[in-house]
Amino acid sequence: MNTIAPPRPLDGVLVVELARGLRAAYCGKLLAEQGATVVKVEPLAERAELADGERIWLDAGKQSVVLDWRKESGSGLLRRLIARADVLVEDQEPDALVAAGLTSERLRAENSRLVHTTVTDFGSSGPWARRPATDLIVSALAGMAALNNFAGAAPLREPGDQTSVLAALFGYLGTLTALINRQVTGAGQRVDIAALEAVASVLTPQFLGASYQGVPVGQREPGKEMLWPCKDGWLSLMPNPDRAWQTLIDLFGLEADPADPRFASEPARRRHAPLVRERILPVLAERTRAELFEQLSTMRVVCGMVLRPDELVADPHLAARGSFLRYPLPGAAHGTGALSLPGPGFRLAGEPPAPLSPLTAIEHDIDALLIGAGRHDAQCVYRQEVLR
Amino acid sequence: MTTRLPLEHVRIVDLTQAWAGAYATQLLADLGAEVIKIEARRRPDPWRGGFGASRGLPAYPADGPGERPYNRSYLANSVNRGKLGITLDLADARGRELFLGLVREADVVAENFTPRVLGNLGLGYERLREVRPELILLSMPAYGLSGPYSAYPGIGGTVEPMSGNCWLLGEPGGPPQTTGVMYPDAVAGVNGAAAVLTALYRRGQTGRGSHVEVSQQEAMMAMLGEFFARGESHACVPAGNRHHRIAPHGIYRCAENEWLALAVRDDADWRALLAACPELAESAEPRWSTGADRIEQAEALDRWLEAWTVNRDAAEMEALLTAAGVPVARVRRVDEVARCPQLAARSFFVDECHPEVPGRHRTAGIAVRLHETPGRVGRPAPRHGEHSRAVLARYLGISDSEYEALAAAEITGEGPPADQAAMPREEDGA
Repeated sequence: MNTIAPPRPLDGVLVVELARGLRAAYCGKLLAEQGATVVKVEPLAERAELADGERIWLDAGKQSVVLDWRKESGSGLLRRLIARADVLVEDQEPDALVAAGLTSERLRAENSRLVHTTVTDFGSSGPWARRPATDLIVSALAGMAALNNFAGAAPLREPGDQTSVLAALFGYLGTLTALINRQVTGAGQRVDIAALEAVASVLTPQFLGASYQGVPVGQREPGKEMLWPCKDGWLSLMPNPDRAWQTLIDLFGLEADPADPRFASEPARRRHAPLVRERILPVLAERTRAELFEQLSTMRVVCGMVLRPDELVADPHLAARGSFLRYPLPGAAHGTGALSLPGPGFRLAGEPPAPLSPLTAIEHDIDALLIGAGRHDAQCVYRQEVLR
Repeated sequence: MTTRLPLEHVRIVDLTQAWAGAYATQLLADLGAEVIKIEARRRPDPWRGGFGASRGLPAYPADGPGERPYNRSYLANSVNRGKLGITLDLADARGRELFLGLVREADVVAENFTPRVLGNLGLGYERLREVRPELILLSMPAYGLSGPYSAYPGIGGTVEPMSGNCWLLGEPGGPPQTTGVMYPDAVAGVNGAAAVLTALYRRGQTGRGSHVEVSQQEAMMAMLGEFFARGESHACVPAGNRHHRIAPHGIYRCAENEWLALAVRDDADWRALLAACPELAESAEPRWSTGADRIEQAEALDRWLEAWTVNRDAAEMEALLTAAGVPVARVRRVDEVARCPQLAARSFFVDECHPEVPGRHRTAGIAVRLHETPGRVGRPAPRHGEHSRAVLARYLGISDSEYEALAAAEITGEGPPADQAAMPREEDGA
């Protein structure tokens, strides 16, 4: 470990990660980003086939041990590692852990300080605990997809695997809360996170609203569209509030007779949405996103540019903040040979994030982690597993 | 013997408003933190919809805005559960003095103003640290505390396009879309809670406080890491409900305006699908039997599947295919999720009563589940200024007569100030 680096919040926290999918791997990533030592343990046959970029995104900052913990010799070694760890993060099928003798009860009997975090689709209990699912399914069941229901089209899930990322974030919340509790009581505990519950929690206002009003809220209303085409793309803008409307007139010469009652107030403008649209579109068509964003924002009119991922990578604000972490891409066949990845969603004020080291195999250092385990014993078993 | 609440030793002074910041402190209140929500004396949290009945934010119960609409908004009442609520006029020197008195007793201050606001009030991090050296300050501005956009205003619906999410959300070849709710607010909220917990852990190890920030833009961008990880970020385009690696994967129209979400993860799922549905097995093309072929034929697969689902009952298909081990779900609306058997079995829901809203109302419970020391959803959301007197008495020793004087001067108080009658008027809300 680099002893010269500045102290990170989770320095000294040892995490064992048993990841089958994104949920536990992303939770491990969140912990690694804050300085925890994250040891990623995988059977050789189950090593996820990830592209180089994905591997960096998920596993930078972690250390890797290839170990078949489903077999007796491997599971014994893993148990000894967990006995020394602060945190176990996993998203395994419950049967798999039980079969390997890695029940939570046993692990915590051997290490009362252990925080054991499980991140699954539906939780480790209940009628759906074994229900097959993917991000799409969780989104459909949690009410999220239905909120993206644009007139006549199919409900839309969020891009990518956001329910897993959200679940991993909740796994981080649970793990940190349990560690804080441990600072007071000295004891670890089990943390049980369900992606379905994470998404439902995010929709807390919509749930209460559906109950207050007797109908679901958050449905698309016509005339409330926020995205407007402009010269080089799209801008998010609500033109109807008084300040925005007046600014569009003052700055861009929007044509609206102040005596015209249809434009005289925000409610009036909302009632005459097609007319408003007619007035706004030509004003926006002549200007770029950047111009509109800067000029309107400076006048405290809230708006946003629709930016593509590659435009974000080149954005001056994000560059000034050091928001992207650049990693060399081994053997890049395209692009610049470097990967730009967004940093963590939170930081110490004024301290941009630093890139993490690539996933490091620790075949020879595993002994250092197994304090108390017979050196020879550990190395022998480990090498056998790798060669198998 | 009752177990402790995991954050019961943490006190938070909460200046946040609307969704993002309020959700961060809600998550912490649910885990036992004492959260003192401070609203400006003259301007309530925008999620209350203003003092009068707001027409811009139709957020009231079915029986209407009522006498005190600012206490009956589902938006404010959802994310502010479990908190104490007071008002202070921070533009007044005495109000700031009272605020600093509370900071002296607090572990955390949370705020989501634009970056200069706290400093302009003389209440920036350095000043707060003089009063409480181990303080943790959480700031959640739309674009972060630094950089050329940091002074710009932002809300969930304008931060979302600035994160890349709008570009990626939508049908292939179609225009960008925004999520049906101000989703980046919620994402920022989760990150805000994560930032505070991280700082609390660090303080527990080192004794030192810190200033932590969440840029709402960056928090939302981090949700999209996989797109940047593909290394050809210029090639990322909206994919609707399709998946870049597996097919069929989508949401298909069924009878009676229902929709079915279906994901065939691998060849085993594909075979299970055909085994469960003989009509599909009959019309399936042999070249679709491998994953690689299916990805290439995704469009044709979607049309083929939807031709089958469009006349069928979504719930029946869900039952049939779930039994066959295929990932599938009828798309639920939010009100239906309130009846979800899995969530009910895990006692996820909370049915709460609020003093100014008749009936019991179901809302989401606690997703951050700790087995030994679980959280609990505490009191319903505070009425405007409800705990001003009690909090100022308890922490600052303010007597009843001192409180009356402060309230008369509109430095604290409940409900609209005397010069603002609570009459319905046309407001724009947030």
